[in-house]
Amino acid sequence: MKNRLKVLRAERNWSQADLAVRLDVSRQAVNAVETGKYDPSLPLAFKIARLFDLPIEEIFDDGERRG
Amino acid sequence: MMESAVDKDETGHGFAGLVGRIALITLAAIGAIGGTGVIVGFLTAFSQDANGTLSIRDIAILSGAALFVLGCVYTGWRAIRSMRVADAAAGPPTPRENRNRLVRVVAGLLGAVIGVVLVLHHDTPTSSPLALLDGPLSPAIAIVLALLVGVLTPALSLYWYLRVVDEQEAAAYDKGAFVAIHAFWVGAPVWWLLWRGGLVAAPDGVLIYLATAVIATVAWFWAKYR
Repeated sequence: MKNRLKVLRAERNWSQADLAVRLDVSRQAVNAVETGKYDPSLPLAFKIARLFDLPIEEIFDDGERRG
Repeated sequence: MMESAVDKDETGHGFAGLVGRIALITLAAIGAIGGTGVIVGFLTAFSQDANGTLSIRDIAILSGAALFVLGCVYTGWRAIRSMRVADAAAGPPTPRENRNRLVRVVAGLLGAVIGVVLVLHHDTPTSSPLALLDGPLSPAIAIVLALLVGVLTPALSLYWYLRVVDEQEAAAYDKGAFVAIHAFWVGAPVWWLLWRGGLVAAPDGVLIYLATAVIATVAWFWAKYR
């Protein structure tokens, strides 16, 4: 799944390690989500959305357009 | 120009680099152990020969083996250092990663204890490494090892899986377990059927166990680090 995590992280000048600490996951997990190799669970997606103060759909894009 | 935190952490190792370094460390370890074995065997044979003297050829072989071992140790050390540098480039490990490393160290120590007990107490008078895995044991040692493997290992695994790893690693572990259990479900009966048909040797439980463990580990590694 595509996402804007890397861009949002860059805007705050956070490293993957910084974000990983804030989300209580490993640096590998942040990297896997950013590169689209791993889709986060709903609880983690909500945690990410709260951290960046954005709706989930403004961070993650599942490729489906709203009708 | 100031380097941003986002640029900095992109310099960590990729999947191919990580696999290459681990392969290099494994080969270096095998080479160092093999080379040391050659030196020890050579010196043991020499010490048993009362009239023996070291010829120029012997000294050349020993020197070559010693250089080979040193080369392997140096190569392994460089690869480990390279992994540490790449890991450091991705920033400091998170508290969860530190807990994960601690559990792995404890698991490694548990494995080392089991290995040492097996080496010291197996009753098979043979030099075959496989004898450590399926040779006879005294009942007392067998009970101690069974308790270590049957109680401590699952307790540590459950703590690791339920309290330590994050969801990405848990998902990778699940994939590894899925691939391994299907390899077992398919591989074991296929071997058994071929054995009944008189086409292959009898199924070997130790080999099937080891193959299942290796498949689970490789699949987990791929899912976690690819």
